Amino acid sequence: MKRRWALAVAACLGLPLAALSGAGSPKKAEPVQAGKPRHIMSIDLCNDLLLMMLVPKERIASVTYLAHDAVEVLMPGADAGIAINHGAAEEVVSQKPDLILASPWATPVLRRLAGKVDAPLVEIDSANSFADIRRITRQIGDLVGEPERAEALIAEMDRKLAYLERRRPARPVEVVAWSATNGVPGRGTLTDEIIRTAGAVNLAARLPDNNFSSFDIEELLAARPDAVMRGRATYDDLSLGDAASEHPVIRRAFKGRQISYPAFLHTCGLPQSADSALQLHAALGKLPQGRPPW
Amino acid sequence: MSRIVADGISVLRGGRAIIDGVSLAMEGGQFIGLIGPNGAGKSTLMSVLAGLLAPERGTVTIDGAALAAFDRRRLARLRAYLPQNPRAEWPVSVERLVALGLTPQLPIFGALPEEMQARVDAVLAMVDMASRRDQPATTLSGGELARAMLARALVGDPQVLLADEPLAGLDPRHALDGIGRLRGLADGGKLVIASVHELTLAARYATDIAVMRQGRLIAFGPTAQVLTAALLHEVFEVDACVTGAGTPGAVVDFVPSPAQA
Amino acid sequence: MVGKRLWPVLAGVLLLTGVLLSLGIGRVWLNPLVLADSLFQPKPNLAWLILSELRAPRTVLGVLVGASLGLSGAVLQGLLRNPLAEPGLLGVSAGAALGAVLAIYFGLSATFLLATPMMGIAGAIAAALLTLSIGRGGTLTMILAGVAVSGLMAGGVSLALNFAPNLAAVYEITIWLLGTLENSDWDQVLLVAPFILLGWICLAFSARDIDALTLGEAQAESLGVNLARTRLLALAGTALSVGAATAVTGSIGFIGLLAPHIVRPFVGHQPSRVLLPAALFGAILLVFVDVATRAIPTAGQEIRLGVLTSIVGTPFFFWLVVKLRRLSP
Repeated sequence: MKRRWALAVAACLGLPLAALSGAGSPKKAEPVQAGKPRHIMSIDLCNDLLLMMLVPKERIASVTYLAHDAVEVLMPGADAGIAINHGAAEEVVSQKPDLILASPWATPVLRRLAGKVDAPLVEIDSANSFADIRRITRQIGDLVGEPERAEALIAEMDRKLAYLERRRPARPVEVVAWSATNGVPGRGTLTDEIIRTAGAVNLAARLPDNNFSSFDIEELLAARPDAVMRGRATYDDLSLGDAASEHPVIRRAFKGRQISYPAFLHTCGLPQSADSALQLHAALGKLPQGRPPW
Repeated sequence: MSRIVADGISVLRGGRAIIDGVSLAMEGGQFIGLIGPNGAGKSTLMSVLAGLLAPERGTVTIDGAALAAFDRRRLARLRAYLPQNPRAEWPVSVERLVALGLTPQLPIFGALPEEMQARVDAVLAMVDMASRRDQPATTLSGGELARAMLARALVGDPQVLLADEPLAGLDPRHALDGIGRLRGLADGGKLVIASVHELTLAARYATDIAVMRQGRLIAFGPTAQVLTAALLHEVFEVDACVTGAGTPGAVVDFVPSPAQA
Repeated sequence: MVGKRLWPVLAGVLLLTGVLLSLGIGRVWLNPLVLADSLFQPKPNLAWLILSELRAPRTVLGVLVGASLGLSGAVLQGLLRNPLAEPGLLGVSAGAALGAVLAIYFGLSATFLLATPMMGIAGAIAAALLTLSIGRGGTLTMILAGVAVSGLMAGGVSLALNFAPNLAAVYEITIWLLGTLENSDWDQVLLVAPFILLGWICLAFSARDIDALTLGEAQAESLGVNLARTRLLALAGTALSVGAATAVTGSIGFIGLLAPHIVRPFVGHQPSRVLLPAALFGAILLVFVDVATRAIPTAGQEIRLGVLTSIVGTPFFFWLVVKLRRLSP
């Protein structure tokens, strides 16, 4: 009798301890145990897209609700029939994935729950360069068990980059990717590398701050770039920030010198980001001759 | 000389009659003292006579014309109204305060015309406030403010003056001074209606007395006839001894009742 | 009272100084002589672009907005006989904010650049009509209605933030609410100027009435003032001028409260005398604070106009409360 009681008490004490120890350690970057994951959940837009490029639909548990609009642009129909998640912790429990691809900003609650249902949660960094894109594509390829497809995507990207390398213009064009509220991407951003790959010079790279600094209209005019790149979120509604950047003086001063680019290919590091460099390269060739007139 | 006739005035609030079937006829040259217990409806009656409150029943006419049909500004030039405890909301100078009485005559924009400035000066002198013309109105004493407000009321030369408890809070000297001026205005041909609680002063200076109780007009007529001990007993439920009503030496004495003695 | 004749000169000089500073100061330093000369240089040139397309409309808008706030504040303080009254009391500013936020939220500002100020003006007028219809029958009722309408509009803004489609929208709504003159252009000036001028006319016509209110409502009525008409003029004037102003700049506080108080020591307390000086001083104040937002060096984001007016205005507000406490019995 006494022994049974002792066991019961020990179990009661032990269970919470076990749970705590299980929850306290977020499992990071473990390659999957045996075989390929068959029920992968992605809770971050950029990971959604890479996932859909690498594995067939049947092995995807869900992608985020944001993915659809980007998919329509990138690979129409690729998300037909795939379940949707909102990045919520409850969905992790209900869908019981065997791999979760997350961003570095996954909430602690989510990580704890992932540990509870024994789903390995991997944080994938964001990409700031083509080298990062290669690394991340390979990383995800390994995680989902499709390293060859990852390499194929990377090879495709590298071909495009090599093509651009061979066609560097003699006089580099000066551009800046500008938005009134979101700052300008400077050194160390993917946009910066895309600009350089396309053969242009990023004026923002000369600014003292890394990454993003703010640049108001006066400074833009004074900098006199040959062209201004405007990020078009092709599926989101344009917000006041973008409309406000349509100050009449911008429209007039940079007539014919505004190049729009798909913003999501810059915020998400994908192999298709090289396409953005190709588009930019083509657009640069169509600019009016000479410097801006003032 | 203006003539005001009120005919069957009734004011209802929440089903209750604040004023019930009051009829009066008044004309210039009279100084009518309106007396009655608290809550008798005196202030309400004054608002109705001034044209600021529309009665539910009955009509008020000035010189035969219905009050309700009067243009606001014309009415404002004809009659002046002083509410209970008038005060200045901003510390403007006494002169500016008095000049506000000319609002109905003023153009929309622009400064005070010359001839109106002269009227302001004259009325300031009349109430003995000329020396304080630049003093902020909020720093005046009770008596001084009362005089300034009276000046404000008179600067537009109205034919009728309605004053609600103009002597409230004034010391004896200023109260005597104030009511004396009111009688003087009446003697000069204006119609003056003032509600007062100071019965002795009413007995001395008012030409006519109107008595209200619970919304009804109990009596109205020359002071000597209306202001009697019997009436005071009926209306105020106090024992009083009235001597010389309607004369400059009138006295209203309150007799202590046996219970108080 | 410091020189009655002197204050218009002083105000004029201050305003001129503010305007010149506003034209001369910006993120890009341009020599004033170069700026002045740019008028004569062949166009387009950088200095002229910056001066005529960016700084000039910004300055004009600053003057219009500041004057509207000061004038409306003076009228409302006169109408309510309360030194703490200011344009936001009637719910108009909150209505303008909701209108503009909805334009951002539904992406209307993408299709049509002037959508935001236009929706802002519509919001201000809607709020004013609501205040007017609920708040009929007395000054106190009107104020209470204004407070209720402000609450309703603020609730709407919170809803929009709650259900914003993406983080960028949340950011932009929040930043807009902090108030700025940053993206002023001539189209905005042309849009709001008629409303503002119409609002000024309404407010100016209330001058005689609010003078009479120095004697209190009963005496003012006996002097022929139609109080309902005065309230309507104040409300309409505020809705048109402050509503249009808020629609382009966002929420700018304290100017409407401060400006009348600053000028009273110079021009006296008679309400009608305070109107024009308060308008002028509101313009001066806003232009100077806007210049300060450009001149204060910050790493990254510029300090927003509404934020700076709050920082400058709050100590004054405290001082006002202490002063009133000392004066009251």
